[in-house]
Amino acid sequence: MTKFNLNDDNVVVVIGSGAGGGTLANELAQKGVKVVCLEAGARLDYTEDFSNDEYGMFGKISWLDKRTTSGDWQVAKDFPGLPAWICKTVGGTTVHWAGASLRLQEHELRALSHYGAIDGANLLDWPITLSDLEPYYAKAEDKLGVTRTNGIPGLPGCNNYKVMEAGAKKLGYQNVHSGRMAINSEPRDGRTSCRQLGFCFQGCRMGAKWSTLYTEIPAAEETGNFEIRPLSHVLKIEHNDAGKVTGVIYADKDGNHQRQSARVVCVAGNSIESPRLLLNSASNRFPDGLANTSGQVGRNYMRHMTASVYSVFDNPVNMYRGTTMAGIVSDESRHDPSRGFSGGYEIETIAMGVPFLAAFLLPGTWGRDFTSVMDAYDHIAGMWIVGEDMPQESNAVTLHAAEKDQYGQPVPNVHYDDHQNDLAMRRHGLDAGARIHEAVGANKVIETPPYPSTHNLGTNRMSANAMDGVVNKWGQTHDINNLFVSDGSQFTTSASENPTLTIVTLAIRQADYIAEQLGKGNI
Amino acid sequence: MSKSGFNRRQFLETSGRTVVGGVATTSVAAMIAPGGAWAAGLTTLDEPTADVLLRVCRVMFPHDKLGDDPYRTCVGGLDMKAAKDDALAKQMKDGAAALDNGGRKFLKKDEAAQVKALTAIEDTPFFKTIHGHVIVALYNNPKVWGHFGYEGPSFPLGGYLERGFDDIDWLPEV
Ligand SMILES: Cc1cc2nc3c(=O)[nH]c(=O)nc-3n(C[C@H](O)[C@H](O)[C@H](O)COP(=O)(O)OP(=O)(O)OC[C@H]3O[C@@H](n4cnc5c(N)ncnc54)[C@H](O)[C@@H]3O)c2cc1C
Ligand code: SF4
Repeated sequence: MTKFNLNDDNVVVVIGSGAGGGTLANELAQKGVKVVCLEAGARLDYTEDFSNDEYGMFGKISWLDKRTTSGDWQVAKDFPGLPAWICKTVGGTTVHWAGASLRLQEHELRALSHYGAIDGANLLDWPITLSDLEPYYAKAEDKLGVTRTNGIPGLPGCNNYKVMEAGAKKLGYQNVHSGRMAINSEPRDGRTSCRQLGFCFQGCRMGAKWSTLYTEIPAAEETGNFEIRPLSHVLKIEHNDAGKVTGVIYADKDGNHQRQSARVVCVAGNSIESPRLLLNSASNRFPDGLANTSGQVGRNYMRHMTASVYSVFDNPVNMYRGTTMAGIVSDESRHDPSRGFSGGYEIETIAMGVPFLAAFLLPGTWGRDFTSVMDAYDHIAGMWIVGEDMPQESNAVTLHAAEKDQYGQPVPNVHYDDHQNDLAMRRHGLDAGARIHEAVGANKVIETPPYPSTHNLGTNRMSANAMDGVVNKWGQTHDINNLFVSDGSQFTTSASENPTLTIVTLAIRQADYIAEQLGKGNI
Repeated sequence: MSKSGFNRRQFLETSGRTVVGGVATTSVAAMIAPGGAWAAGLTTLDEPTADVLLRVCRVMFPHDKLGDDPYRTCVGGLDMKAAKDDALAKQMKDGAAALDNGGRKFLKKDEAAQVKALTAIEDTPFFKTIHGHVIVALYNNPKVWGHFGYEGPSFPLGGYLERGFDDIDWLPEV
């Protein structure tokens, strides 16, 4: 396996090996660029280390370092120390993800001009258009093997999906199908197809679901241009007098500090750790943190408007059998202010086993109202609503004034207040979900509050104007031309779609740009 | 429905514990004679405390078709935690005693009165500790899954592809 010297200042350092970092690293390595990927988590083998155990896998691969919360969002009450459900492992959150892979819509990339200014929202247009992204979306869909693209058949619908489909069609919804999923419906790319295990959130034991852990990372290794260092937690990015970044300090598996030199640094630690790292890298020259002239690092934190509907039926459903996110209704994913809010939302199935459903259904509740629902477990169907939430400057990842992590660094606080638009959309979505299930005979509908955030976005957002955001349309920071952001924190607005396909798309596009700029000697 | 915080500490504590939890659960279960008293013994909690806790667990999460064993397993888990945590042991003992105060034994009350007594203390650390423990210890115990119609790990059986992932037969034609 290739190893690079700590003093090698010709390498691109990528921080994080998830959707953004893992993809970017592989794309660069394929072009002959030397890459060192530093990943805080351990490297697991899906054929040995993955099990169908909800708490077991959560404990094994989640990011459990201390975090705090504030704001009026329900997550701060239900899970005060767990604002987000994110992984710390090689592969990042692509180990836990469900695989729903949707393109953003043209109007969503122009949220400000299309919706108009909204009180209290820091809306902005993306500095790129759908036509800029389309060729890269095509590459990303091919890479992930997304069903219903590239001639790949859709997955067969499981019981939970069939309930949603029947209800939605009865109500007249048109865009209802078993999803565009980064899950093999037939063997592809050296990986087998889905056997409907029903444990997608626990890491796919079949390897049927795309994860950088067993796709991008080994592919990058084969080039000889790439080294991944697991259990390497980056603490600080360093720069020189000219204001260019020169390397990173990280804690290795034994907690010893190491310094890796770098020609370029790309931050892809997901939307809480990425801004935190920039803020923790403050220096005399950049007292407010790296790349933070605009003051926008950590701000405009978005997590999607979410909620779930679980309904009890007279007859069995057995929702746990089969893919977790097994289908979608897209009709509500449009901008139609007559509904009382801007932007739209998707409706997707979701299912959990008994252990997690008990924990998440109605956090903190007890007594017969709760247990009577659990008693009907095999008669329950579930769906998740996920929609565009408003960027708000005050929704932010900041450094905690007193609390420190295991490395002595300030922990991140995640502040989030729901915007009126988010609340109106959630109400609409919960009602739509209930109607779908009631159309096929639900006799009881439960409104489940948001889980810890799985979609974390916006905290280093893209902007045309350097004062409005942190990075330009290539993910290059406005302030420092050899410092890039390569994950979901680049999102200017959240749109209604699950974000990962777009994160991968931006990473492929960014790799082209970085390689070109390196070639020209610009960075 | 009543509320108590299911917080991160409890979540992590419990999720961390269940990495080895399969083992913990079965050894606790083995320690306790089925359907009987605290036979093989409690390590830390006294029997009157354990008896009250057993009832508290069931009133919190009443599943009439479940016998006492899974609830005893929950109390056994609390006992094991208390063995390593004096503050928890005291919290359990004091909390159980407080439910018995005023000369009216918690265990002698009917369920409605017991629910009332628990509702009155649902914001206390005592209640929240038990709630956070039991929501995991009860529902993450493979022995109760059959009751809920949940089949658990499917990989060893080849998934549900040929085992009913799409066998629903009562939906209207669309
Ligand atoms: C249960 C669940 C289901 C999901 N389902 C879907 C879905 O169906 N569709 C979809 O589009 N999205 C889904 N998501 C979201 C998706 O997983 C994320 O959007 C995506 O993985 C984010 O990519 P990222 O590159 O920003 O970060 P990640 O994939 O989280 O990768 C970040 C990596 O950086 C590492 N890291 C962080 N800080 C440091 C540091 N200081 N030093 C070194 N390493 C560091 C982390 O350990 C991690 O491995 C789901 C998420 C969850 C939790
Ligand atoms: S249902 Fe399919 S995608 Fe999900 S874990 Fe199982 S094999 Fe993997």
